[in-house]
Amino acid sequence: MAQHKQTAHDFIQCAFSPQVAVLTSNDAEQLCQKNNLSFTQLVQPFCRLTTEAQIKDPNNVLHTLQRLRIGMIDMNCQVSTPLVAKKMMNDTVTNEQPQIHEGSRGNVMTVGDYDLQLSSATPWFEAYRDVFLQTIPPSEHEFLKHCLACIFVVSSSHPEPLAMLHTLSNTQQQQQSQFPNKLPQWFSPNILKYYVLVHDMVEAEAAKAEAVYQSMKSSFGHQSCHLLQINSRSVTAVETTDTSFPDPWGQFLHKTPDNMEGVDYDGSASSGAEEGSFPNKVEEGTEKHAINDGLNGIGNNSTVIDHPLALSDSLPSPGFEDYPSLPSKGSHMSLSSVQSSMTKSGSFHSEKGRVMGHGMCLTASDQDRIRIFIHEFSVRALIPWAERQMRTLNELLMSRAGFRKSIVGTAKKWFGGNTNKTGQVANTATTVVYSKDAPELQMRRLADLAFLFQLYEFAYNTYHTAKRDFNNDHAWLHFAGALEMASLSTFMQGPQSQRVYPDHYMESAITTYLQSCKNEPYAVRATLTSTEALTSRGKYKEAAMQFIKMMSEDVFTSAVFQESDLRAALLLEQAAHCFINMRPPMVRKYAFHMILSGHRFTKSGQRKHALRSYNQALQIYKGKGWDLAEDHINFTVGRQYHNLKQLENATAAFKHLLTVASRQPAPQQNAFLREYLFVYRQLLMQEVEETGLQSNTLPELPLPALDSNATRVLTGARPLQPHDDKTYATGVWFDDVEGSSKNWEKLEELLVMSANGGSLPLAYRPSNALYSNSTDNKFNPVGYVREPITIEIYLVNPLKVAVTLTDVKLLWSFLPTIASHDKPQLITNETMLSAKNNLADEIVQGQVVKEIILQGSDRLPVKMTLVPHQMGELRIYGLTYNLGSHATTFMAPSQGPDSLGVGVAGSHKASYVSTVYVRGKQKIEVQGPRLNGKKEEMAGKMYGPDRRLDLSVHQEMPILQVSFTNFPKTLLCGEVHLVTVTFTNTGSIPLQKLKLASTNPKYFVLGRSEDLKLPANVYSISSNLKDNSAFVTCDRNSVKHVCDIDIPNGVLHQASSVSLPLWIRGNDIGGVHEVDLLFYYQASQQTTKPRYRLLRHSVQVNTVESLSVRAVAQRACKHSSETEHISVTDFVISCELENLSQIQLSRSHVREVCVRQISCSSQRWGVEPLSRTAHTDTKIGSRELLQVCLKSMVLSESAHRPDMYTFTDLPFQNTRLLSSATPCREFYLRSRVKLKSFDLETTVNPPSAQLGPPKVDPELAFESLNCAINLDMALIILWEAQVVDSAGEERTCVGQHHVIVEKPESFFTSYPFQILPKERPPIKFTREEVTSEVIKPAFEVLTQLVSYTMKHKTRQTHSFQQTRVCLLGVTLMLQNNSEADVTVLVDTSRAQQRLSDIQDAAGQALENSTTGFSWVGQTQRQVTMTPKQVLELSLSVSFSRPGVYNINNLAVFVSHTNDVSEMTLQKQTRPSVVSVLDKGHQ
Amino acid sequence: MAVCVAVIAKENYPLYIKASTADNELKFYYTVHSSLDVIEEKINSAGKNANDQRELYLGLLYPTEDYKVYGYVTNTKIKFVIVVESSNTTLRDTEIRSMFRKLHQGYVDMLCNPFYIPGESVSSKSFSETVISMMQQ
Repeated sequence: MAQHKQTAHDFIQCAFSPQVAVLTSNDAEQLCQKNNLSFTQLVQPFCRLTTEAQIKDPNNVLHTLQRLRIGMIDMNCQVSTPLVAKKMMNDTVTNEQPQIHEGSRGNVMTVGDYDLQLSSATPWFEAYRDVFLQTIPPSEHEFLKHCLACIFVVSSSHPEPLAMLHTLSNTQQQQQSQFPNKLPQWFSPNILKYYVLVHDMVEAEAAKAEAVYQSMKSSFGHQSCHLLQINSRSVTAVETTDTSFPDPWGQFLHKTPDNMEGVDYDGSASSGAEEGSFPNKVEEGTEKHAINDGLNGIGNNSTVIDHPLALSDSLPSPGFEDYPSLPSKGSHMSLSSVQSSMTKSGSFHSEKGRVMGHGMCLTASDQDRIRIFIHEFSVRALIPWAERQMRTLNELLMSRAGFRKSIVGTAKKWFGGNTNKTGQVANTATTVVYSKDAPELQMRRLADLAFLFQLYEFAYNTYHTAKRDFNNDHAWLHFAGALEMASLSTFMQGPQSQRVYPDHYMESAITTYLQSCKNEPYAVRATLTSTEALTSRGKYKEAAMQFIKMMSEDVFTSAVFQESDLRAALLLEQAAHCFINMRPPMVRKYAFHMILSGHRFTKSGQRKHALRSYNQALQIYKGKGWDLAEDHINFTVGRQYHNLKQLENATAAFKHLLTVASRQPAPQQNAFLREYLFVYRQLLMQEVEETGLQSNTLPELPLPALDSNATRVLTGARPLQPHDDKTYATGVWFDDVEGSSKNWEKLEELLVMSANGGSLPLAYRPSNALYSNSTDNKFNPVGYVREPITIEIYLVNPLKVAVTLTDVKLLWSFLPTIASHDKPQLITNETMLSAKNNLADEIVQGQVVKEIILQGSDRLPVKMTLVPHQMGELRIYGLTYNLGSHATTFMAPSQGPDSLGVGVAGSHKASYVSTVYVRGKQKIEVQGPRLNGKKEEMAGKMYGPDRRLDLSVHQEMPILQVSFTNFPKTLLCGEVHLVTVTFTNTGSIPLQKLKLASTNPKYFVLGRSEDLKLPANVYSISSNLKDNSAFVTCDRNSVKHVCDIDIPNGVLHQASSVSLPLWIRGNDIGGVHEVDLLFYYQASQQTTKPRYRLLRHSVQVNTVESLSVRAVAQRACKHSSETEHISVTDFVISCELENLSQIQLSRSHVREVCVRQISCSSQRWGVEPLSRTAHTDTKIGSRELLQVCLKSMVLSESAHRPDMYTFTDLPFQNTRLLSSATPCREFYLRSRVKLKSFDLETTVNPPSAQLGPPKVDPELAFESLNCAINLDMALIILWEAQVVDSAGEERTCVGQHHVIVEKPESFFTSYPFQILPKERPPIKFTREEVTSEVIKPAFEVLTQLVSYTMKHKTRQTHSFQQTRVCLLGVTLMLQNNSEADVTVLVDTSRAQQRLSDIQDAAGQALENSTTGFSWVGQTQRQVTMTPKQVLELSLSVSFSRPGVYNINNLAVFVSHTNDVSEMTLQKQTRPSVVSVLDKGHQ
Repeated sequence: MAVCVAVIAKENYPLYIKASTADNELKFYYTVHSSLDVIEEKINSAGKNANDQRELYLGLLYPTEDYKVYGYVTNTKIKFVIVVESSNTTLRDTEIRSMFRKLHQGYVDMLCNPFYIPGESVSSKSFSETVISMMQQ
């Protein structure tokens, strides 16, 4: 229970104060009306005795009366009917609003985690309570409200005051005797009569008054007369003097409700049925109609959220319908009559207007006189009368007591002894009817009187006795009343009483009132007093229980009445306050009951109170995760605000429902959304009405959520889509893979380096066109005038229902850079005015997306473009749109983001035009990456700047457009294809310095524009078969990642274009290959930064396996007899060509491959056919193998220059393809060049490598030695393939494969070996000792540094009979293959192991078996050989018997240094056979 | 059996609320939320007489016209609330206790999931199944 102004003691005393009726004559009344008060009102503020009075109880014990209060009621006052009482209560509650609204009052209570703002005072409840107690209908079972006395008032100006007093007295007498049921009721037949003569000090004569007073005293007794002199101040004086003394009447007078506030509590709040019953209320204005209509419009949804605690049967419809129809006809009449009766002075009051105060004619002494009058009346008349009454009643009862006990007691014993007397007998209405002066009632009367005059101990005893009697008689109503008062008597005795407060008495009183007597008002009264008593003793829990019990009983007994809703609301609120006052406070119960109370307030039409209750409860539910409850409260609060026309607050409340991703079901969310939109639009309309113009800034909308950080910004136009056989450079678009940007950066670096003369400019940083979350956005993106800027925004719908956005636009602000001195003005397009908008559109042209339908919980990217037309700073800061709910009946498929800009089909229009929408905006705020550099950055959460939405618009630049004609998607491996590439400048500025960089330049050859004029063959053909070699300069260094593109005059003008041939060759490995091309160009005039522009192109080429070539070069094994000239350097090359393709039906495949020509490119070598027969059949079918053997020969020495290559062609058909011509040669060259890969792994040097000494590439260090086995011969196989594509059509492709034969005796293939990625060793954290490795040349090289052959006769005839030994001279020809000086040791002894443990197994075997020959002469010979030197050594061998000998068993050791110990045995396996014949045998 | 099962965090925000029918979910939100006051009261009163050996089961928190609300508090102050219908007379204290034990077990199992961050709302399927099984019995 909230804190009240009155203490419980005061309250109960006030509630049960002695009542005195007042009957005034008209003239007396008029006298009082001068003060704008009736007589009762006049005396009311002074009705409490300020001094103590004495009273004797029937036992003659003297008691002290403290602060006795006397209730004065006008006898003519009409009884309020239930309906009127209800209205009065409603009005009272409505008028008592919390004075200060939330926020200002610093009454903050901290309970656990909750900080609550509570208004502990509930004046409306107190007001209600007072009115309720006033209007409670009297009952026969108690006499507390019965008038003890009647005061008759006449004025001294009356012509015959005495006669008038008699008349008045008679009137009273008459009423009491003839209309006993008419109010007010009288305590007893012989009530106290008191006569008052009111005297106007100004207008009437004092003497006459005195005379009348004297005669009154003589006729009525001096104790019951009083002369009251008032109005010492004249009315005229009132008007001149300023009355500033406090107005003691104000608090007692009934406030007339303002018309304005009357709207607040009409019955339409809870249900539409009630609305019709008070037509007088709806007339308030047309605006309200509109709102109601609006509410009805959305009323279908409004029922979705109903109070969960609303009892479905709480409004029994037939009864409910009947109820309002009853009073509605007479309501006007009765209401108006009530009004006048309530404030007796009503007419007077309204005539004089509200300006008039009260008691103007009363001076301070007048007030004192009134005070004296009341004191006189109480002490001299009322208290003595009460004493007398009590005494007589007591005596009466004492005398009857014995009699009653014997008779009634035995009667009960005999007849009704078996009945249950616990007092809890249900459903038995009071059958006992006591006569008016029945002793039981007399008893009660006595008790009441004692209670009224504060003789609580005596009262308690009497009530207790009466209670027993009533219980015995089963007079339940009386019983309950006695119980109630008994417990109150105990309470009123205060702490000095020995008795414990019998709250069970009260409990059973309430129960009895409710259940046995069905007397609800009294139950309520009992509850009100009881809870007051309980709370004053700190028994909050019990009090709360009583409140709730009363409330819940209410529901069943009188749910029909709206009044009960109000009462329930108030009771629940008090219960809630009880909970919060408990120790420890029960916050949640408080909140819950506040919600219940709010619901009841709503039902009773008390919107402000309902709102207040819900807001109180919201404090507890807010932000604690109780979503459903929170949503419900927010929704209700929103609607209440709406009803109260606080649209701003309503919007805020509804906004809450949408921002949180709520767990509500879809229809509920739909309702929320609609309600929000509806209210919001009303708010906007209202604002327009009020201010006359629309606000300049758009309101922020809660829906849809923007995934701001996912926003991407792209500068430049969208790349063109391919059409016909033309494809365009892919450029940059949103679907680019983010990870590839490193490659582009590297390429750009290369381009800039080449354009800048080999070094990067100081302030170089890679340019970027697509800015996203992962790019470095420290710098402002650069846009160009008249070039579009595209923004991609992700819209997220947190709701489960679709929302519709229409007329979506980007919001921007623009600061133009103007050369003039005056400061440029910031221009923005966030304005409602169309003129301004048009102006803004001229500066930056923005795209408007007509409609976006965002399905429930959808995430949709939306792309929008802006085209700036001036230089300056462009900042994109938001998005503006019309937000509407999606018509559920029309479910349009969600449009793709690409088609959004195109415009909306007619059918779509219907979907958004019909629904309610509001225009608003949302800001896009991007956040930079989290900083992690400094300590405070690591500790806190700091984010770097992100400027991706702040673009700087620069002046116009040339725009390059690159298109490719006939770009194939699929190629055979090695296939060469001609593509025409066209460069067009679509910008308005000429461009220059066109460059191209590529990640993999191996497979592209860009020709010159002249080449296009040639016939469209890939290879040049010559029919000259004779001169089959060409001597061409080839600069291997020319192959780089970056190449310049020749354009005529070096400048490409506006709208002009250049076409160039571009040959592409399929990758040697089958599969999908991606090649990135980056074009670089500059504007012809030097501009400020950035100087250059770039254009990206990324292609994917799928290659299909075609041909594989394996080649091996073997040293020619020439028999010495065949040719005289013995060469140690000739090679036989055998090639295996295999067609790897497979014939696949209905898919493109290679039918056959025809080898056209094999060419050789080398600095030293040429090729010849091995045989002179022409190869005609060189067609290879699928999975077939063709073997070709060729012979290589050394070219003339003159051709030997480092950059010169000789191409020798070996055609298989009668036309020769010029292998030295453009595409073929270039592709060959490219295949030979080892370019640094773009892989990121290789570019990033492992740091450990830099620590050690610079590593020498072993290949380079021993180049002079390595060339010993270096063949360096490239075979180019040119072929022609018949390809059947999927449509069954055949076409011919040409292509080339390269095999580079580096070394003899090993196989080389056309396709590069795929290097399997090495498994990385586990990372070690210990420092590894860098062992300085001695670099040695490869063993393979060392064993082949020197080649040797033996020149000798192969056949020797010798007569062994003549000499036993045959001697044969052998010339050992040694050739130094390397480019270095070598030391050669020729050892003819058999002890080869002496120098090396490498054994030639074959030689040993031979030696073991043939012991018949041996070398003679010097066994070891050491010579030094200069590079490429051919040396002949003469040896001789001796044979002891005829036979066939392999004399190749000598060992040749070679050292490339002078260190003899490092000699290496040369590999020589070829036998050298000598047949020794015996002459004698021939 | 149960018409509503709720798990509430130490800081009194809901981790999990499941009502047997969706339409009166809001009602149970209010009911469960209000019951927290009683739970706190019970914990505080219990803490005085026995310090360590606390009974986890709190018993009947409060009866309403249609429902009975039972409470249970783990040692880490996670609160379980089970609402049963008043008309259901077959449920005795022992049954309610076993329900709570089962719920506790289910919660502990769910908490053992290393991917569950304590304090986040429970979305575990198996825990949901446990709860649903308690409602369907």
